Amino acid sequence: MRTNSIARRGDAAGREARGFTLIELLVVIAIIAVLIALLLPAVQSAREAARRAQCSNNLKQIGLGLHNYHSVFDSFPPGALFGRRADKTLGNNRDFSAHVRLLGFTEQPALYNAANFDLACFNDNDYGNGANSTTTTTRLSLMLCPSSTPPSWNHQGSGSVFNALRAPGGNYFASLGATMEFAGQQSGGPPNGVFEYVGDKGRTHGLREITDGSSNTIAFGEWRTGSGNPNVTTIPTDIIFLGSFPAGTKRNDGTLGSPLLPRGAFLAWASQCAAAAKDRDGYYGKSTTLGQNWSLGLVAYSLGNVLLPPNPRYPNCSTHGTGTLQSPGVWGLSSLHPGGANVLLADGSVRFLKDSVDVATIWALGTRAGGEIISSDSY
Amino acid sequence: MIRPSALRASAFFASSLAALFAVGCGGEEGPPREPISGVVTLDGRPLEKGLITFTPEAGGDLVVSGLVVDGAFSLPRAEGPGLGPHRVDVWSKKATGKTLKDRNDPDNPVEETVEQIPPRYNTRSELKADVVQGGENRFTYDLTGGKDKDAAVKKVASRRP
Repeated sequence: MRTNSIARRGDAAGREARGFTLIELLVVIAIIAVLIALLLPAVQSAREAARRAQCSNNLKQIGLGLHNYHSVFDSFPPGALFGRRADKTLGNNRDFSAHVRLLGFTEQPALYNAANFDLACFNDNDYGNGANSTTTTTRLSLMLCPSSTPPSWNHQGSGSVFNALRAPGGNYFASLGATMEFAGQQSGGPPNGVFEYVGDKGRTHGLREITDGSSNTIAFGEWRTGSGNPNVTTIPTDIIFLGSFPAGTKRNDGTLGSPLLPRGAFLAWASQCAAAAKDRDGYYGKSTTLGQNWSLGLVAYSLGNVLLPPNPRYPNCSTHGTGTLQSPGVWGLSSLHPGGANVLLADGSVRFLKDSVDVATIWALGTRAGGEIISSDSY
Repeated sequence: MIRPSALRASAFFASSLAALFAVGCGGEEGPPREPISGVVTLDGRPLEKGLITFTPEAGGDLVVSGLVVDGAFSLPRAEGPGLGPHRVDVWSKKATGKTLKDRNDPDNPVEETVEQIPPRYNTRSELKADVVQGGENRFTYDLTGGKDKDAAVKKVASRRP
Protein backbone atom coordinates (compact mmCIF):
# COMPACT_ATOMS: atom_id res chain seq x y z
CA MET A 1 0.00 0.00 0.00
CA ARG A 2 2.70 2.41 1.05
CA THR A 3 4.76 1.93 -2.03
CA ASN A 4 1.64 2.19 -4.08
CA SER A 5 0.70 5.67 -2.82
CA ILE A 6 4.25 6.93 -3.22
CA ALA A 7 4.21 5.71 -6.71
CA ARG A 8 0.88 7.45 -7.43
CA ARG A 9 2.09 10.71 -5.97
CA GLY A 10 5.21 10.55 -8.05
CA ASP A 11 3.09 9.78 -11.02
CA ALA A 12 0.94 12.88 -10.56
CA ALA A 13 3.81 15.27 -10.00
CA GLY A 14 4.42 15.62 -13.65
CA ARG A 15 0.91 16.78 -14.60
CA GLU A 16 -1.28 19.62 -13.34
CA ALA A 17 -3.25 18.51 -10.22
CA ARG A 18 -6.91 17.61 -10.91
CA GLY A 19 -9.58 18.44 -8.30
CA PHE A 20 -10.67 21.36 -6.11
CA THR A 21 -8.40 23.98 -4.64
CA LEU A 22 -9.01 24.96 -1.04
CA ILE A 23 -10.63 28.26 -2.09
CA GLU A 24 -13.07 26.53 -4.43
CA LEU A 25 -14.01 24.08 -1.71
CA LEU A 26 -14.64 26.92 0.75
CA VAL A 27 -16.73 28.80 -1.81
CA VAL A 28 -18.86 25.74 -2.45
CA ILE A 29 -19.36 25.15 1.27
CA ALA A 30 -20.28 28.80 1.78
CA ILE A 31 -22.81 28.73 -1.06
CA ILE A 32 -24.38 25.59 0.35
CA ALA A 33 -24.54 27.27 3.78
CA VAL A 34 -26.34 30.28 2.30
CA LEU A 35 -28.82 28.02 0.49
CA ILE A 36 -29.57 26.14 3.72
CA ALA A 37 -29.97 29.41 5.54
CA LEU A 38 -32.52 30.44 2.92
CA LEU A 39 -34.29 27.11 3.12
CA LEU A 40 -34.53 26.75 6.90
CA PRO A 41 -37.19 29.43 7.47
CA ALA A 42 -39.23 27.84 4.69
CA VAL A 43 -39.04 24.47 6.42
CA GLN A 44 -40.03 26.06 9.73
CA SER A 45 -42.99 27.83 8.16
CA ALA A 46 -44.09 24.55 6.57
CA ARG A 47 -44.08 23.02 10.06
CA GLU A 48 -46.13 25.96 11.36
CA ALA A 49 -48.54 25.56 8.45
CA ALA A 50 -49.07 21.94 9.46
CA ARG A 51 -49.71 22.93 13.07
CA ARG A 52 -52.13 25.59 11.90
CA ALA A 53 -53.98 23.02 9.83
CA GLN A 54 -54.41 20.80 12.87
CA CYS A 55 -55.41 23.80 14.96
CA SER A 56 -58.19 24.73 12.56
CA ASN A 57 -59.21 21.09 12.28
CA ASN A 58 -59.79 20.98 16.04
CA LEU A 59 -62.08 24.00 15.67
CA LYS A 60 -63.86 22.25 12.82
CA GLN A 61 -64.48 19.23 15.06
CA ILE A 62 -65.87 21.51 17.75
CA GLY A 63 -68.12 23.03 15.09
CA LEU A 64 -69.42 19.60 14.03
CA GLY A 65 -70.03 18.79 17.70
CA LEU A 66 -71.93 22.06 18.11
CA HIS A 67 -74.27 21.22 15.26
CA ASN A 68 -74.79 17.67 16.49
CA TYR A 69 -75.63 19.13 19.88
CA HIS A 70 -77.99 21.60 18.21
CA SER A 71 -79.81 18.89 16.31
CA VAL A 72 -80.43 17.03 19.59
CA PHE A 73 -81.25 19.93 21.93
CA ASP A 74 -82.41 22.56 19.40
CA SER A 75 -79.98 25.03 20.93
CA PHE A 76 -76.27 25.59 21.40
CA PRO A 77 -74.91 24.59 24.85
CA PRO A 78 -74.83 27.05 27.77
CA GLY A 79 -71.53 28.75 28.62
CA ALA A 80 -72.13 27.57 32.20
CA LEU A 81 -75.10 27.02 34.50
CA PHE A 82 -75.23 27.13 38.27
CA GLY A 83 -73.37 24.33 40.03
CA ARG A 84 -74.72 22.30 42.93
CA ARG A 85 -72.54 21.89 45.97
CA ALA A 86 -72.50 18.89 48.30
CA ASP A 87 -74.89 20.74 50.66
CA LYS A 88 -77.39 20.99 47.73
CA THR A 89 -77.07 24.77 47.44
CA LEU A 90 -76.75 26.20 43.94
CA GLY A 91 -74.21 28.84 43.15
CA ASN A 92 -72.12 30.69 40.58
CA ASN A 93 -68.66 29.77 39.39
CA ARG A 94 -68.67 26.04 39.81
CA ASP A 95 -70.17 24.54 36.64
CA PHE A 96 -68.78 22.86 33.51
CA SER A 97 -67.97 24.69 30.30
CA ALA A 98 -69.79 24.43 26.98
CA HIS A 99 -66.83 22.34 25.81
CA VAL A 100 -67.66 19.56 28.29
CA ARG A 101 -71.28 19.48 27.09
CA LEU A 102 -69.97 18.89 23.56
CA LEU A 103 -67.81 15.90 24.50
CA GLY A 104 -70.55 13.39 23.75
CA PHE A 105 -70.73 14.77 20.21
CA THR A 106 -66.99 14.97 19.54
CA GLU A 107 -65.91 11.34 19.95
CA GLN A 108 -65.21 11.60 23.69
CA PRO A 109 -68.11 9.61 25.22
CA ALA A 110 -65.98 8.22 28.05
CA LEU A 111 -64.96 11.66 29.24
CA TYR A 112 -68.54 12.89 28.79
CA ASN A 113 -69.90 10.02 30.89
CA ALA A 114 -67.35 10.74 33.60
CA ALA A 115 -68.87 14.20 34.12
CA ASN A 116 -71.69 14.44 36.65
CA PHE A 117 -73.65 17.51 35.60
CA ASP A 118 -75.72 17.39 38.80
CA LEU A 119 -72.66 18.36 40.80
CA ALA A 120 -70.30 21.28 40.92
CA CYS A 121 -66.95 20.64 39.26
CA PHE A 122 -64.82 23.30 40.98
CA ASN A 123 -64.99 25.66 43.98
CA ASP A 124 -66.49 22.77 45.92
CA ASN A 125 -63.68 21.25 47.93
CA ASP A 126 -66.03 19.01 49.90
CA TYR A 127 -67.35 16.93 47.07
CA GLY A 128 -67.70 18.14 43.48
CA ASN A 129 -64.04 18.89 42.84
CA GLY A 130 -63.11 15.30 43.50
CA ALA A 131 -66.19 13.69 42.01
CA ASN A 132 -65.69 15.41 38.66
CA SER A 133 -61.91 15.45 38.60
CA THR A 134 -61.67 12.87 35.80
CA THR A 135 -63.16 15.34 33.35
CA THR A 136 -61.73 18.52 34.80
CA THR A 137 -58.11 17.44 35.02
CA THR A 138 -57.72 15.68 31.66
CA ARG A 139 -55.54 17.25 29.00
CA LEU A 140 -57.42 16.84 25.72
CA SER A 141 -55.69 17.34 22.37
CA LEU A 142 -58.98 18.41 20.80
CA MET A 143 -58.92 21.50 23.03
CA LEU A 144 -55.27 22.39 22.41
CA CYS A 145 -53.85 24.23 19.44
CA PRO A 146 -50.47 22.68 18.52
CA SER A 147 -48.98 26.09 17.65
CA SER A 148 -49.40 27.20 21.24
CA THR A 149 -47.45 25.39 23.92
CA PRO A 150 -49.80 23.85 26.50
CA PRO A 151 -49.34 24.96 30.12
CA SER A 152 -46.11 23.78 31.71
CA TRP A 153 -47.26 25.32 34.99
CA ASN A 154 -49.58 24.14 37.73
CA HIS A 155 -53.27 24.94 37.93
CA GLN A 156 -53.82 28.15 39.90
CA GLY A 157 -56.96 28.68 41.98
CA SER A 158 -60.28 26.81 41.73
CA GLY A 159 -59.81 24.77 44.93
CA SER A 160 -58.54 21.34 45.92
CA VAL A 161 -57.75 18.62 43.36
CA PHE A 162 -56.45 21.26 40.97
CA ASN A 163 -53.67 23.01 42.79
CA ALA A 164 -51.02 20.33 42.72
CA LEU A 165 -51.74 19.44 39.10
CA ARG A 166 -50.34 20.69 35.86
CA ALA A 167 -53.03 22.81 34.18
CA PRO A 168 -54.81 20.91 31.37
CA GLY A 169 -54.92 23.98 29.13
CA GLY A 170 -57.46 25.04 26.54
CA ASN A 171 -56.91 27.15 23.44
CA TYR A 172 -60.50 27.49 22.21
CA PHE A 173 -63.11 29.73 23.79
CA ALA A 174 -66.84 29.99 23.32
CA SER A 175 -67.63 33.52 22.12
CA LEU A 176 -69.67 35.85 24.30
CA GLY A 177 -69.87 38.23 21.34
CA ALA A 178 -68.79 41.83 20.93
CA THR A 179 -69.34 42.65 24.58
CA MET A 180 -67.39 43.00 27.79
CA GLU A 181 -70.30 41.48 29.71
CA PHE A 182 -70.35 37.73 30.26
CA ALA A 183 -73.32 37.14 32.56
CA GLY A 184 -76.77 36.39 31.23
CA GLN A 185 -78.16 37.45 34.61
CA GLN A 186 -77.50 41.08 33.64
CA SER A 187 -80.99 41.58 32.24
CA GLY A 188 -80.20 45.14 31.16
CA GLY A 189 -77.28 44.15 28.99
CA PRO A 190 -76.66 40.44 28.54
CA PRO A 191 -73.97 39.23 26.11
CA ASN A 192 -74.76 39.55 22.40
CA GLY A 193 -72.90 36.51 21.06
CA VAL A 194 -73.71 32.83 20.63
CA PHE A 195 -72.77 31.86 24.21
CA GLU A 196 -73.19 33.42 27.61
CA TYR A 197 -72.66 32.62 31.26
CA VAL A 198 -76.22 31.40 31.78
CA GLY A 199 -76.23 31.02 35.58
CA ASP A 200 -79.83 30.97 36.76
CA LYS A 201 -81.40 33.77 34.71
CA GLY A 202 -79.52 33.68 31.41
CA ARG A 203 -80.44 31.83 28.25
CA THR A 204 -78.94 29.52 25.70
CA HIS A 205 -79.13 30.49 22.05
CA GLY A 206 -80.00 28.50 18.94
CA LEU A 207 -79.61 29.06 15.24
CA ARG A 208 -83.02 30.76 15.02
CA GLU A 209 -81.70 33.60 17.17
CA ILE A 210 -78.62 34.17 15.02
CA THR A 211 -80.37 36.58 12.70
CA ASP A 212 -77.10 38.05 11.43
CA GLY A 213 -76.65 34.73 9.66
CA SER A 214 -74.71 31.81 11.06
CA SER A 215 -71.93 32.36 8.51
CA ASN A 216 -71.48 35.93 9.77
CA THR A 217 -71.28 35.17 13.49
CA ILE A 218 -68.31 33.87 15.46
CA ALA A 219 -69.10 30.89 17.70
CA PHE A 220 -65.63 29.90 18.91
CA GLY A 221 -62.23 31.56 18.75
CA GLU A 222 -58.72 30.66 19.75
CA TRP A 223 -56.27 32.17 22.20
CA ARG A 224 -52.68 31.46 23.17
CA THR A 225 -51.92 29.81 26.48
CA GLY A 226 -50.92 32.35 29.12
CA SER A 227 -47.33 32.37 30.36
CA GLY A 228 -48.24 31.23 33.89
CA ASN A 229 -45.38 33.43 35.08
CA PRO A 230 -46.42 36.59 36.96
CA ASN A 231 -42.88 37.96 36.74
CA VAL A 232 -42.95 38.54 33.00
CA THR A 233 -45.26 40.70 30.90
CA THR A 234 -46.81 38.90 27.96
CA ILE A 235 -49.00 40.84 25.56
CA PRO A 236 -51.67 39.90 24.50
CA THR A 237 -52.31 36.99 26.90
CA ASP A 238 -51.83 38.67 30.29
CA ILE A 239 -55.05 39.79 31.98
CA ILE A 240 -54.59 43.16 33.69
CA PHE A 241 -56.86 44.03 36.63
CA LEU A 242 -57.36 47.66 35.70
CA GLY A 243 -60.22 48.26 38.11
CA SER A 244 -62.16 50.75 36.00
CA PHE A 245 -64.72 50.71 33.21
CA PRO A 246 -64.43 52.53 29.87
CA ALA A 247 -65.73 56.10 30.30
CA GLY A 248 -69.49 56.25 29.91
CA THR A 249 -70.15 52.56 30.41
CA LYS A 250 -71.59 50.53 33.24
CA ARG A 251 -73.13 47.15 33.80
CA ASN A 252 -76.75 46.33 33.23
CA ASP A 253 -77.62 49.06 30.72
CA GLY A 254 -76.15 47.58 27.54
CA THR A 255 -73.26 50.04 27.25
CA LEU A 256 -70.68 47.27 27.67
CA GLY A 257 -71.51 45.71 24.31
CA SER A 258 -71.93 46.59 20.65
CA PRO A 259 -73.63 48.79 19.46
CA LEU A 260 -73.84 51.00 22.58
CA LEU A 261 -70.21 50.51 23.69
CA PRO A 262 -68.44 53.76 22.72
CA ARG A 263 -65.56 52.73 20.51
CA GLY A 264 -63.20 55.59 21.41
CA ALA A 265 -63.68 55.12 25.16
CA PHE A 266 -63.22 51.38 24.76
CA LEU A 267 -59.93 51.78 22.87
CA ALA A 268 -58.79 54.35 25.46
CA TRP A 269 -59.54 51.81 28.18
CA ALA A 270 -57.64 49.10 26.30
CA SER A 271 -54.65 51.42 25.87
CA GLN A 272 -54.74 52.14 29.61
CA CYS A 273 -54.39 48.41 30.17
CA ALA A 274 -51.40 48.34 27.83
CA ALA A 275 -49.79 51.12 29.87
CA ALA A 276 -50.69 49.42 33.16
CA ALA A 277 -49.10 46.20 31.90
CA LYS A 278 -45.73 47.97 31.96
CA ASP A 279 -45.96 48.56 35.68
CA ARG A 280 -43.58 46.18 37.40
CA ASP A 281 -44.49 46.87 41.02
CA GLY A 282 -47.70 44.86 41.01
CA TYR A 283 -49.80 48.01 41.58
CA TYR A 284 -52.04 46.77 38.79
CA GLY A 285 -52.50 43.09 39.47
CA LYS A 286 -52.64 40.61 36.65
CA SER A 287 -53.41 37.02 35.82
CA THR A 288 -51.15 35.07 33.51
CA THR A 289 -53.27 31.92 33.41
CA LEU A 290 -55.35 32.50 30.27
CA GLY A 291 -56.71 29.21 28.97
CA GLN A 292 -55.56 27.10 31.89
CA ASN A 293 -58.51 24.68 31.85
CA TRP A 294 -60.94 24.00 29.01
CA SER A 295 -63.51 22.30 31.24
CA LEU A 296 -64.45 25.07 33.71
CA GLY A 297 -67.29 27.40 32.78
CA LEU A 298 -65.60 30.73 33.46
CA VAL A 299 -64.32 33.66 31.45
CA ALA A 300 -60.62 33.33 30.52
CA TYR A 301 -61.02 29.55 30.93
CA SER A 302 -63.64 28.59 28.34
CA LEU A 303 -65.43 31.87 27.60
CA GLY A 304 -63.99 34.85 25.75
CA ASN A 305 -65.10 37.77 23.61
CA VAL A 306 -64.32 39.30 20.24
CA LEU A 307 -63.85 43.03 20.78
CA LEU A 308 -60.32 43.45 19.43
CA PRO A 309 -58.65 42.02 16.31
CA PRO A 310 -56.43 38.95 16.81
CA ASN A 311 -53.06 39.56 18.52
CA PRO A 312 -53.67 43.22 19.39
CA ARG A 313 -51.11 45.61 20.89
CA TYR A 314 -53.20 45.56 24.05
CA PRO A 315 -53.24 42.91 26.78
CA ASN A 316 -56.43 41.29 28.01
CA CYS A 317 -58.10 43.39 30.63
CA SER A 318 -60.53 43.09 33.52
CA THR A 319 -62.69 45.80 35.05
CA HIS A 320 -62.08 44.20 38.42
CA GLY A 321 -59.34 45.77 40.48
CA THR A 322 -58.16 43.01 42.69
CA GLY A 323 -57.97 39.59 41.23
CA THR A 324 -61.22 37.78 40.52
CA LEU A 325 -61.72 37.28 36.82
CA GLN A 326 -65.51 37.17 37.05
CA SER A 327 -66.13 40.77 36.11
CA PRO A 328 -66.60 42.39 32.68
CA GLY A 329 -63.45 42.62 30.61
CA VAL A 330 -61.64 41.57 27.46
CA TRP A 331 -60.36 38.04 26.85
CA GLY A 332 -59.81 38.00 23.14
CA LEU A 333 -58.36 36.31 20.08
CA SER A 334 -54.65 35.54 19.99
CA SER A 335 -52.42 32.92 18.43
CA LEU A 336 -48.88 32.06 17.47
CA HIS A 337 -49.83 31.74 13.80
CA PRO A 338 -48.20 34.51 11.79
CA GLY A 339 -50.71 37.23 10.92
CA GLY A 340 -53.96 36.17 12.54
CA ALA A 341 -56.05 33.61 14.39
CA ASN A 342 -58.65 30.98 13.55
CA VAL A 343 -62.32 31.44 14.32
CA LEU A 344 -65.22 29.03 14.06
CA LEU A 345 -68.34 30.60 12.62
CA ALA A 346 -71.75 29.42 13.79
CA ASP A 347 -72.37 27.59 10.50
CA GLY A 348 -69.46 25.25 11.33
CA SER A 349 -66.91 26.80 8.97
CA VAL A 350 -63.45 27.83 10.13
CA ARG A 351 -61.96 31.11 8.92
CA PHE A 352 -58.53 32.64 9.44
CA LEU A 353 -59.04 36.14 10.75
CA LYS A 354 -56.20 38.56 9.96
CA ASP A 355 -54.59 40.75 12.62
CA SER A 356 -55.34 43.78 10.46
CA VAL A 357 -59.12 43.32 10.47
CA ASP A 358 -61.05 46.45 11.49
CA VAL A 359 -62.56 46.77 14.98
CA ALA A 360 -65.99 47.47 13.47
CA THR A 361 -65.77 44.23 11.45
CA ILE A 362 -64.82 42.21 14.54
CA TRP A 363 -67.78 43.66 16.44
CA ALA A 364 -70.10 42.86 13.53
CA LEU A 365 -68.83 39.27 13.41
CA GLY A 366 -69.23 38.94 17.17
CA THR A 367 -72.89 39.85 17.52
CA ARG A 368 -75.56 37.28 16.73
CA ALA A 369 -78.33 39.77 15.97
CA GLY A 370 -76.70 43.16 15.50
CA GLY A 371 -78.00 43.64 11.97
CA GLU A 372 -74.60 44.85 10.69
CA ILE A 373 -73.63 44.49 7.05
CA ILE A 374 -70.20 42.91 6.60
CA SER A 375 -68.49 43.37 3.27
CA SER A 376 -66.96 40.11 2.13
CA ASP A 377 -63.57 41.75 1.56
CA SER A 378 -63.36 43.16 5.07
CA TYR A 379 -62.01 40.00 6.70
CA MET B 1 -2.19 28.54 -6.77
CA ILE B 2 -5.35 30.75 -6.82
CA ARG B 3 -6.68 30.60 -10.32
CA PRO B 4 -8.64 33.38 -12.02
CA SER B 5 -11.78 31.24 -12.09
CA ALA B 6 -11.64 30.78 -8.31
CA LEU B 7 -11.12 34.52 -7.89
CA ARG B 8 -14.14 35.21 -10.07
CA ALA B 9 -16.20 32.71 -8.12
CA SER B 10 -15.31 34.19 -4.77
CA ALA B 11 -15.89 37.71 -6.04
CA PHE B 12 -19.34 36.66 -7.27
CA PHE B 13 -20.01 35.00 -3.96
CA ALA B 14 -18.96 38.06 -1.97
CA SER B 15 -21.07 40.40 -4.06
CA SER B 16 -24.16 38.17 -3.77
CA LEU B 17 -23.69 38.07 0.01
CA ALA B 18 -23.43 41.85 0.07
CA ALA B 19 -26.60 42.06 -2.01
CA LEU B 20 -28.40 39.80 0.45
CA PHE B 21 -27.45 42.00 3.39
CA ALA B 22 -28.24 45.20 1.52
CA VAL B 23 -31.92 44.19 1.25
CA GLY B 24 -33.20 45.59 4.53
CA CYS B 25 -36.58 46.51 5.90
CA GLY B 26 -38.44 49.67 5.07
CA GLY B 27 -39.64 52.12 7.71
CA GLU B 28 -42.90 51.48 9.53
CA GLU B 29 -45.91 53.09 7.90
CA GLY B 30 -48.54 54.95 9.85
CA PRO B 31 -49.77 58.35 10.93
CA PRO B 32 -47.15 60.75 12.34
CA ARG B 33 -46.69 60.41 16.10
CA GLU B 34 -44.91 62.58 18.63
CA PRO B 35 -43.00 61.73 21.81
CA ILE B 36 -44.56 63.40 24.85
CA SER B 37 -43.76 63.76 28.54
CA GLY B 38 -45.02 65.67 31.54
CA VAL B 39 -45.97 65.92 35.18
CA VAL B 40 -49.17 65.12 37.10
CA THR B 41 -49.76 66.36 40.64
CA LEU B 42 -52.70 65.65 42.91
CA ASP B 43 -53.36 68.28 45.60
CA GLY B 44 -49.84 69.60 45.21
CA ARG B 45 -48.07 66.28 45.50
CA PRO B 46 -46.76 64.15 42.61
CA LEU B 47 -49.30 61.45 41.72
CA GLU B 48 -47.74 58.28 43.05
CA LYS B 49 -49.13 55.86 40.49
CA GLY B 50 -51.73 56.27 37.81
CA LEU B 51 -52.62 56.24 34.15
CA ILE B 52 -52.93 59.11 31.69
CA THR B 53 -54.83 58.77 28.42
CA PHE B 54 -54.75 60.96 25.31
CA THR B 55 -57.83 60.74 23.07
CA PRO B 56 -57.82 62.72 19.81
CA GLU B 57 -60.70 65.22 19.78
CA ALA B 58 -61.06 64.80 16.03
CA GLY B 59 -61.87 61.11 16.55
CA GLY B 60 -59.84 58.19 15.32
CA ASP B 61 -58.38 55.06 16.80
CA LEU B 62 -54.97 56.40 17.85
CA VAL B 63 -55.76 56.57 21.57
CA VAL B 64 -52.64 56.24 23.71
CA SER B 65 -52.01 55.81 27.42
CA GLY B 66 -49.00 56.14 29.64
CA LEU B 67 -48.08 55.07 33.13
CA VAL B 68 -47.64 57.87 35.68
CA VAL B 69 -44.98 57.01 38.25
CA ASP B 70 -44.12 59.51 41.01
CA GLY B 71 -45.82 62.27 39.08
CA ALA B 72 -43.96 61.81 35.81
CA PHE B 73 -45.01 60.27 32.53
CA SER B 74 -43.34 59.95 29.15
CA LEU B 75 -44.24 58.21 25.93
CA PRO B 76 -41.64 57.55 23.22
CA ARG B 77 -42.47 58.34 19.59
CA ALA B 78 -43.48 54.77 18.80
CA GLU B 79 -46.14 54.87 21.54
CA GLY B 80 -46.97 58.57 21.41
CA PRO B 81 -50.15 60.33 20.25
CA GLY B 82 -50.89 61.79 16.83
CA LEU B 83 -50.96 65.53 16.12
CA GLY B 84 -53.67 67.96 17.17
CA PRO B 85 -55.85 68.64 20.21
CA HIS B 86 -56.45 65.76 22.61
CA ARG B 87 -58.69 65.12 25.58
CA VAL B 88 -56.69 63.95 28.59
CA ASP B 89 -57.94 61.60 31.32
CA VAL B 90 -56.11 60.72 34.53
CA TRP B 91 -56.94 57.61 36.56
CA SER B 92 -55.51 56.31 39.80
CA LYS B 93 -56.99 53.71 42.08
CA LYS B 94 -56.32 53.38 45.74
CA ALA B 95 -56.94 50.54 48.16
CA THR B 96 -59.33 51.45 50.97
CA GLY B 97 -57.85 48.80 53.25
CA LYS B 98 -61.20 47.04 53.49
CA THR B 99 -61.84 43.61 52.01
CA LEU B 100 -65.08 42.51 50.41
CA LYS B 101 -66.34 39.01 51.03
CA ASP B 102 -67.73 37.16 48.07
CA ARG B 103 -70.76 35.04 48.87
CA ASN B 104 -69.99 32.61 46.08
CA ASP B 105 -66.31 32.32 46.75
CA PRO B 106 -65.79 32.92 50.49
CA ASP B 107 -62.25 31.52 50.40
CA ASN B 108 -60.98 34.41 48.32
CA PRO B 109 -61.95 37.79 49.80
CA VAL B 110 -61.11 40.68 47.50
CA GLU B 111 -59.59 44.05 48.42
CA GLU B 112 -61.71 47.11 47.85
CA THR B 113 -60.27 49.93 45.77
CA VAL B 114 -61.61 53.37 44.88
CA GLU B 115 -60.81 55.83 42.12
CA GLN B 116 -59.07 58.71 43.85
CA ILE B 117 -59.10 61.13 40.90
CA PRO B 118 -62.33 63.20 40.66
CA PRO B 119 -64.51 62.53 37.57
CA ARG B 120 -63.80 65.98 36.15
CA TYR B 121 -60.34 64.67 35.30
CA ASN B 122 -61.36 61.33 33.80
CA THR B 123 -64.94 60.33 32.97
CA ARG B 124 -65.91 63.98 32.31
CA SER B 125 -62.46 65.30 31.72
CA GLU B 126 -61.77 69.01 31.22
CA LEU B 127 -58.03 68.47 30.66
CA LYS B 128 -56.59 69.20 27.22
CA ALA B 129 -53.33 68.73 25.36
CA ASP B 130 -52.36 70.14 21.97
CA VAL B 131 -49.72 67.92 20.40
CA VAL B 132 -47.62 69.83 17.85
CA GLN B 133 -45.17 68.46 15.34
CA GLY B 134 -41.55 68.78 16.45
CA GLY B 135 -42.53 70.72 19.59
CA GLU B 136 -41.44 70.04 23.12
CA ASN B 137 -44.84 68.48 23.92
CA ARG B 138 -44.37 68.65 27.66
CA PHE B 139 -47.58 68.90 29.67
CA THR B 140 -48.24 69.67 33.33
CA TYR B 141 -51.51 68.87 35.07
CA ASP B 142 -52.19 70.05 38.60
CA LEU B 143 -55.23 68.19 39.85
CA THR B 144 -57.15 69.11 42.97
CA GLY B 145 -59.91 67.53 45.00
CA GLY B 146 -58.52 64.05 45.43
CA LYS B 147 -59.27 63.99 49.13
CA ASP B 148 -62.57 65.91 49.11
CA LYS B 149 -65.48 64.04 50.61
CA ASP B 150 -67.89 65.67 48.13
CA ALA B 151 -65.69 65.03 45.10
CA ALA B 152 -67.79 62.01 44.18
CA VAL B 153 -65.17 59.37 44.74
CA LYS B 154 -66.24 56.51 42.56
CA LYS B 155 -66.32 53.00 43.82
CA VAL B 156 -64.65 50.73 41.31
CA ALA B 157 -64.55 47.46 43.17
CA SER B 158 -67.30 45.34 41.69
CA ARG B 159 -68.70 42.11 42.92
CA ARG B 160 -69.23 38.88 41.13
CA PRO B 161 -72.66 38.61 39.55
